[in-house]
Amino acid sequence: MTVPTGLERLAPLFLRKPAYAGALAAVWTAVWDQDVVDVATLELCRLRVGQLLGADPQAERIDGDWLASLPRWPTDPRFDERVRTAIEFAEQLLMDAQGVDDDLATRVVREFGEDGFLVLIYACGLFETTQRAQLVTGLLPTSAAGRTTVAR
Amino acid sequence: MSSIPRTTITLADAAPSLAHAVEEFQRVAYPGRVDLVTRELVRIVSGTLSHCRICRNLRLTAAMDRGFDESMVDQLADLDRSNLSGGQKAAVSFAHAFLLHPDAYAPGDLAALHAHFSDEQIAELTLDLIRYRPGSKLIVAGGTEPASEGLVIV
Repeated sequence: MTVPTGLERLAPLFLRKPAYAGALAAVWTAVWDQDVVDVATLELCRLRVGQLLGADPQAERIDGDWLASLPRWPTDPRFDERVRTAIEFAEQLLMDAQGVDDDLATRVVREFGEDGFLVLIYACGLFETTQRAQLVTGLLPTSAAGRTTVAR
Repeated sequence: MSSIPRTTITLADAAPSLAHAVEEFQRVAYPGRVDLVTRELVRIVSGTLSHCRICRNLRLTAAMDRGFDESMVDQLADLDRSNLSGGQKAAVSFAHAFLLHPDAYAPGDLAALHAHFSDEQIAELTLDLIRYRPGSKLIVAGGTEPASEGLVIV
């Protein structure tokens, strides 16, 4: 069983429920492989969600120096309007999806299209729950009869 | 919040490979090692905390056939005074911790869960919680929630 990049801290799940966790890995890979929303934008959303959850996220698909700039996304000139819209959307989805108002939804659709709007919602939801899981599964034992390979 | 769909397409239209993987994720989830009534309670807690009307009002016939009833949902609001089993209470508490304050999850909390569930079962519950919420967000943020609070039995 191979654990994809970004899910290494969920290795205990792959040891205990390989088929179910393998299906999660396929979803994870499909999120990054789709061609609707670019990887850098998704990675910034993943990192911001992780920061807000206190999950200590590490940059894996963009330069690490973006991580320090991320809390200042509303004013930092490194972030353009498109990325700011995505991060604002990611933050609101994390806090309360009901709080996504028509204005924000319209701006996301304008920047990413209807298909990007849906991909961002699902991806940010997955970034949230996988990082929540990292926080609780850090306590789970990692020893088991099976072997788990971490992809790099 | 919107009850008016914000898009006319689905995830399958937007990203077919992703949608297919999500469907497969759902398919392999069942059957599992945790009893279906407990998993149903955890799913309802996730739907409720995700403010997803469809998710919290959906009922699985298979769980009802195994002893799930609506009085259990009422008892979720006051777990300490509920008549739910020790395992059900532990699983629901785990769901609350996962969805509300995972950073505060402590070894003692895990020990309480282990009193009722094996490592494999805990992994299954965790994967359930990873799986439920992204779909709930699609419904809520996508504006495809029904206006009615009626139960949907599938």
